[in-house]
Amino acid sequence: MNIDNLSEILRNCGSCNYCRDTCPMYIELKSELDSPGGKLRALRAYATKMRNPPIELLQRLYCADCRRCEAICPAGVPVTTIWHDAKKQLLKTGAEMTESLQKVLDWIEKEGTPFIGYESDDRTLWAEDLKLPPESNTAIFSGCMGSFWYPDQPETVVDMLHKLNVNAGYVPSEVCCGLFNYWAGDDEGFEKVVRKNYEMFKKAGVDHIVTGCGGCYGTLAEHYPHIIPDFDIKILHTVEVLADMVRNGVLTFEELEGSYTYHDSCHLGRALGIYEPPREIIKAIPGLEFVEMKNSRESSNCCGGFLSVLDPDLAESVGRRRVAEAEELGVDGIITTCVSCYKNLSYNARETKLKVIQLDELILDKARSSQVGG
Amino acid sequence: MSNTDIETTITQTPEKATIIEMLKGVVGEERVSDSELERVVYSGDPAVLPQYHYRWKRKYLADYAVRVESEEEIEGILKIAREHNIPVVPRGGASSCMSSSSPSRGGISLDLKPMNKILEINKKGMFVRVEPGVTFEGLANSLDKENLTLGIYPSSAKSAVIGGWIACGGRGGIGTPFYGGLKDHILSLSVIGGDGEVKLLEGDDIDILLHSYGILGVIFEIKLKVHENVREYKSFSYGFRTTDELCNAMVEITKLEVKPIYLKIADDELQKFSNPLEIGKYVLSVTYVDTPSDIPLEDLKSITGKYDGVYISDEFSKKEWDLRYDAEFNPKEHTETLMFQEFWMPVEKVSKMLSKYESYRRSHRIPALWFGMLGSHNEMRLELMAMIDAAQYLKFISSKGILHKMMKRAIKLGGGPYTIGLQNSIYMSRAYPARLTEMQEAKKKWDPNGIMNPDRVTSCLTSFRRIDVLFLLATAFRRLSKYVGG
Repeated sequence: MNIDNLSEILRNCGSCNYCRDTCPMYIELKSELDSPGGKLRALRAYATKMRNPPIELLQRLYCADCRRCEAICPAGVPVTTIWHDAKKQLLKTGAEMTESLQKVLDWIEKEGTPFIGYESDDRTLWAEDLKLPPESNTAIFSGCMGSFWYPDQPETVVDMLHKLNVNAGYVPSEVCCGLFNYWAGDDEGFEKVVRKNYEMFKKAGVDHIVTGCGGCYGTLAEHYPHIIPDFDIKILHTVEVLADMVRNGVLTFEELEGSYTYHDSCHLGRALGIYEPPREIIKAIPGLEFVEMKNSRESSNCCGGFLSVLDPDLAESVGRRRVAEAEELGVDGIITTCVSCYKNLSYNARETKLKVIQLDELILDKARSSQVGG
Repeated sequence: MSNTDIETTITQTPEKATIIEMLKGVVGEERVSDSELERVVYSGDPAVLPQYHYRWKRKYLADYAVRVESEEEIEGILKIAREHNIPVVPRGGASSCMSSSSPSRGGISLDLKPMNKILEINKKGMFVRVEPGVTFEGLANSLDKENLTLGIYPSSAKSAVIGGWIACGGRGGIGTPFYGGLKDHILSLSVIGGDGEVKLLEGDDIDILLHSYGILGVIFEIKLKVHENVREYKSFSYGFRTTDELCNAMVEITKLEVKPIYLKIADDELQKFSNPLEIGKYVLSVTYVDTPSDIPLEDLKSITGKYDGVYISDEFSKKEWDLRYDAEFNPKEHTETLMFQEFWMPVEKVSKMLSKYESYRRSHRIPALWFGMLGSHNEMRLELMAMIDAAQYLKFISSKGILHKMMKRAIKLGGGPYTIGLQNSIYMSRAYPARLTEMQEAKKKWDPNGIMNPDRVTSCLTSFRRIDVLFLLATAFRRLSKYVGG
């Protein structure tokens, strides 16, 4: 087991520890071993003057994937890339991931989803009654969350696109986007799912993919081209499409009374820089008072959703902190664009007066149909 | 865990319980580790990375990492350390760059960051009581809700903690030229000495803990003065052609009646990594509390105009203020090692320091850059840096040598090292002889067993003479290498 080949990518961390107090793992666990700076210090030590990193090092590299550390780093250290490369290298040279994580990856290989117990045959149940065209150049990528846990979400996208006169279809044989494989450092598994999905997209004649999931969006747009160099499918998030329509005056809304804040999804925000489109949509809703959180955009705090794979208790604590931030504002609710964020925030807001709303759902509910056709 | 439990645990003999078991008995299983991985993580700070430092230290890895959450736990750990003669390295934010919190003889790395409670905000009495691990951001957020502010914070405020800044002296930071240093803000300190005695320090007694770098004991509670909050700031940046013009303007600005919150000087080499200079080769950026009558705008115009300083732009000036935490670290993105030395200099002497460093830049071909931040009414924290790859040993060590020469010059000019830590302890006898005597006496009294953060301030791992000869040779070789293409 070694990481000797990583010394170059680790060279810029100055150990300033700026990342430490923004990291949800450190905030909860209070150990520098769980802070990005501490882990970078360890990686650098094992990549240069020490040998044989312990197995625990690999396990500590699995985190919330929120990228808050990258946003605050004054030296531009590519922390996410380092985590990925280190995991990949450690796994290649003999380290083993935890049994539970290995089970998740095995399930992806078997059933095309990280959600153990769910089967690939059920993936497209959400689409069965929607009479979607079998082939279309625009496909809705429902993602695992949308397919299995929140079928309302892709249904909403379908409804919305129909109202916009976009004849969108779906790819019945899609599998998980591969985010979990990539995050786990399982490059072999990742390549398999990328190639499988790409083959299906091409077979269905897809040249545009619309997804409502920030994680899928990021994986498709950011990482697929690394495996398929001539990847030529345009990836869109629903908020980009809809914000464009708001800007052009095509999409207007009925009134919604109340004050709401917006939670930036880590995958959509820090990973892909999409901050303004959801805000443009929210601000276009008459009657809605928009209140910005103190920690927003690049400084947005993670909701902990991604951590539910690793440690549900940790995910809950992180989620509660984010809900508390919204409560402090005295708003009526939180709007978010990510299904994973929605799941964790709504669960942790269950004992508060806050409403947690998916932006897609809000749009469907409040869009003036006369303005958008349909 | 109660005191009795702790007593029971730590009085077991080593035969019955190993050190690790005793430590676990004090803080619980989860907050102690002797795993190599955790010891690596808890032995590092920003100074620890180059191989050079690893070679220099005797035993750079801690034997145990312990995270404490209360006064009782600190007492329990120190008792074990005394009884078994184990060094204790108190660790706050670990943001000091001079190895203040990294071990030199193994021992216990004592993480105080989990002690991060704000115990009381007293708006009527205008004070706050905090634990040592409170971050500046955490404190600012809590005080802000009461429309209060501490007003001062180090430029490493994103990671530094209150207790750590006290141990490092807290004399120069953002806000200190306006509100005064940390010394002017501490109302009381609660400390456990290395001898186990719990002390409450007030008034002049506090001074001994400032710049003590954890060699006397562990701070566990702090009472600090606070101020009414300030909402707006206004910044002004000027470009200059020469260091003399820059420094003359800076000295005159520091003499104005209205003091700035923040005053920074830097060269274009540093600026190009954060806020590139469009006008001039050197920049002076100054920020005031935005009360119209308090900004000496006409004086600024007149002083900077006298020395051919040119106002850059509102946008540039605001960015300078926004980058106040990051500017010093931004060059790290482009180099393996950002080597630097920090000096505490009378403002009138900064010009002499800079002209010498500029001459070294030329004569020894050093990839030099520099930065200065006003710390008090008339003293500046000057940071001279070099972008170096530690793998190129001659370049690395000779650049260190040049910074050593600069330190000798600073001492001659009436300045000295800003931070002491492990690395600058060799300069104590020359730069701060009276303070050295005072600290040596205090060390005997507070820490008779010598367990607290050894090899810092009152003693050091190497001698000034040895370092002087090493660096002299290295810089001579470096200068020669200029002529043979090294």
